[in-house]
Amino acid sequence: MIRSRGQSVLYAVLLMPTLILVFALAVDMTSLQMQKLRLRYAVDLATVTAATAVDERYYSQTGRLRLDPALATATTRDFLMRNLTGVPGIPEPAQVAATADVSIINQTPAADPYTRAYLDRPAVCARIRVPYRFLLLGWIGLRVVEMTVAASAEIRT
Amino acid sequence: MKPAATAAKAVAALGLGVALVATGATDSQGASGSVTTVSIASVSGYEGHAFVYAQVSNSTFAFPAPTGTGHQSPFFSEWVAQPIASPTCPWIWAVYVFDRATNRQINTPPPNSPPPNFGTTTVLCASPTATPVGQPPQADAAARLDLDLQVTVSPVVAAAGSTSRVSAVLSNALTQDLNLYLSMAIQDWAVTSWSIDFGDGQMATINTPAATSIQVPHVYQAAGLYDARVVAFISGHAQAAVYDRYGTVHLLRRPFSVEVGSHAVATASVRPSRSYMPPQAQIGVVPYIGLPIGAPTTTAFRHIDGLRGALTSLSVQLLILREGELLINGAPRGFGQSWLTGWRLDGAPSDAPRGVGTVPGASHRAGELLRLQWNAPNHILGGQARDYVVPVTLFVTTRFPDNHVDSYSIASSFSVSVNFAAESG
Repeated sequence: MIRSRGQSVLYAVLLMPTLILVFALAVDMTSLQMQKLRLRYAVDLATVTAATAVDERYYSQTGRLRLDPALATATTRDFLMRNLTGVPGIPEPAQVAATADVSIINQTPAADPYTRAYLDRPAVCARIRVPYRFLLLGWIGLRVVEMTVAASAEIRT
Repeated sequence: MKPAATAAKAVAALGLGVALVATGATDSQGASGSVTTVSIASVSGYEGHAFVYAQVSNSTFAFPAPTGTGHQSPFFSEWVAQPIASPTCPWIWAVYVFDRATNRQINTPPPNSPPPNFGTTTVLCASPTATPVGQPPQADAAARLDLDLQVTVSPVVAAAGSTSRVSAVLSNALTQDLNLYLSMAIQDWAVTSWSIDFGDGQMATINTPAATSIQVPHVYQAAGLYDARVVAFISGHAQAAVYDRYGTVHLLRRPFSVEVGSHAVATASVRPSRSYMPPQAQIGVVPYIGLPIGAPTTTAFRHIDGLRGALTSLSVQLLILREGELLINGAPRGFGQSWLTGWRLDGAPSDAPRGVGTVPGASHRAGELLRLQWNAPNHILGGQARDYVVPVTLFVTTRFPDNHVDSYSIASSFSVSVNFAAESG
C-alpha cells in the first residue's frame, strides 16, 4: 500500500505541469487564431472599401480605370482605424492604421508586394503588424508575438 | 445756239439708240424788256451714253451795262481778275459793281468774311484760255452733262446655278459755260433708281440715292447667253445766271431728268455635275463616373473600361475618319465640315436603373449624355472580364465648300471591357 501511494504522488508531480502546459497552449493558440481572424477581417474590408476610390478625372481623360492613390491610401487608413476600434488587444488602433503598409497598384499585371498574389487589375494592398500578448503561455516566459496580416482588393464598386 | 438745233445735233452725234426724252424752255422777262430763254435737252441713251444740254440765251445783250457805254444807269459793273489760283481753278473772276456817280464799289465783301470773299455770288472760275474780260458780248451760254454707263458681268462665263454679279458704274463729264452776261451750269444731279433686266426674264429695281455704281448678284439657272441690261434714272437741276445792268445776278433754275442705260452679255455654261461624298466617321466616347467633371476633354475613345455596377455617363463624340468631299465633274474640289447633330442608342437595354439609363431607340441631341451600366460579370462569382459592344447611330450634318448641306446617319459602335475580381486576401 505504501508503495502504491508513492506512485500516485509521483504521477501528480510529474504529469500536472504537463497537463497545465497543454491546457495553456490550447487556450492561447485558440485566442491567437481568433485575433488573427478579426485582424484579417479588418484589413480585408478596409482594402475593399478603398478599392472604390476610382480616379474619375483619369478615367475621363483615358477611358481606363485606375485608383486614385491619395484617396485610396487615405480611405484604407481611415477604415483600418474604424475596423480596429473595439478589437480586443488593440489599445491604439489609430497608431496601427497610421503605421500600416499601404500600396496602390495601378500598373498591372503585378504582384501584391506583401503576399505576392497575382494582380491583373488596379488594387489596394495593405499590411499591418500587431503585437499579441499570450494569456497563459506567459507563465513559461512566452509573453508577446507580432502578428502580420495582409490583404488586397482590386478596383470595384 | 437754239435749243431745237442743240437737241438735233446731239441726236445726230449719238446715232443709234438715242432718244430725246425732254426739252424744256423757259422765258424770263429781263429788266430792260429783253427776253431771256433757258432751254434744257435731256437726251437719254441706252447704249452706254446720255447727256443733258442746258442753254441760256439773251438776244439783246443788255445786261449788265458795260463800262463806258451810253447807258446812263446809276451803276456799272466790270469783271476783275482775282489774285487767287488753285490747281482746280487757275483763273477766278468777280463782278464788281460800282456807283457811277461816286465810282465806289457797292458790292464789297462783308468786313469779317474770310478771304476770298467777294461779297456776291458772282465769283466765277473761268477757263484759263478764255476769260470774260475783253470778250465780246455773247448771245448765249451752255452747260452739258455727259453720262457714261459701263455694265459688266462677272465672271464672264459662270456655271449655270452659280452666282454671277451684274455691275454698273456711272461716270460723268461736266461742261459749264459763262461769259460777261450769262452763265449756265448743271447745278446738281443724282441717280434716283436703277433698273436691271437680267435677260432671263427676271427684273430688279434698286433705289440707292446718290450711288453711282451698283453690284447685284444673280443666278442664271440654265445655260445660255443672256443680255443683262441696266438703266440709271437720273434727276437734277440746271441753273442759269443772268446779270442785269446793275451787275445783279438773276438765277433761273430748271429741273431735268434723263436715263442712261447699257448692257453686257452674261454667259452661263452647262451646270457641272456635283457629287457630295459623305463623311466617314465613327463614334468616340468620353466616360464619366456619375456626372461630367472638369473641362470637356478633346479626346474621345473607341474602347473604354467599364466599372462594374456603376452608372457611367458617356459624352458622345464624332470621330472623323475622312471628311465629306465635294466632287465637280469627278474632280475633288475640297472637303466639307461635319458636325454631330444627334445620336441614337441601338443596343439592348443596359443594367442602369429604370428612369436613369438611356433607353434604346430614342433619338437624342448632340451634347446629351449616354447613360449605361453593366452588372456582369457577377460580383459574387467573379470570373473573366466581359466585353460589350454598344451600337449607336450618329446623326451628322456636313457643310460642303459650295455651302451645300447634307445630313447623314452613320451606324457605329464602341466597346467596353468590364471585369470584377471577387477575390481578396
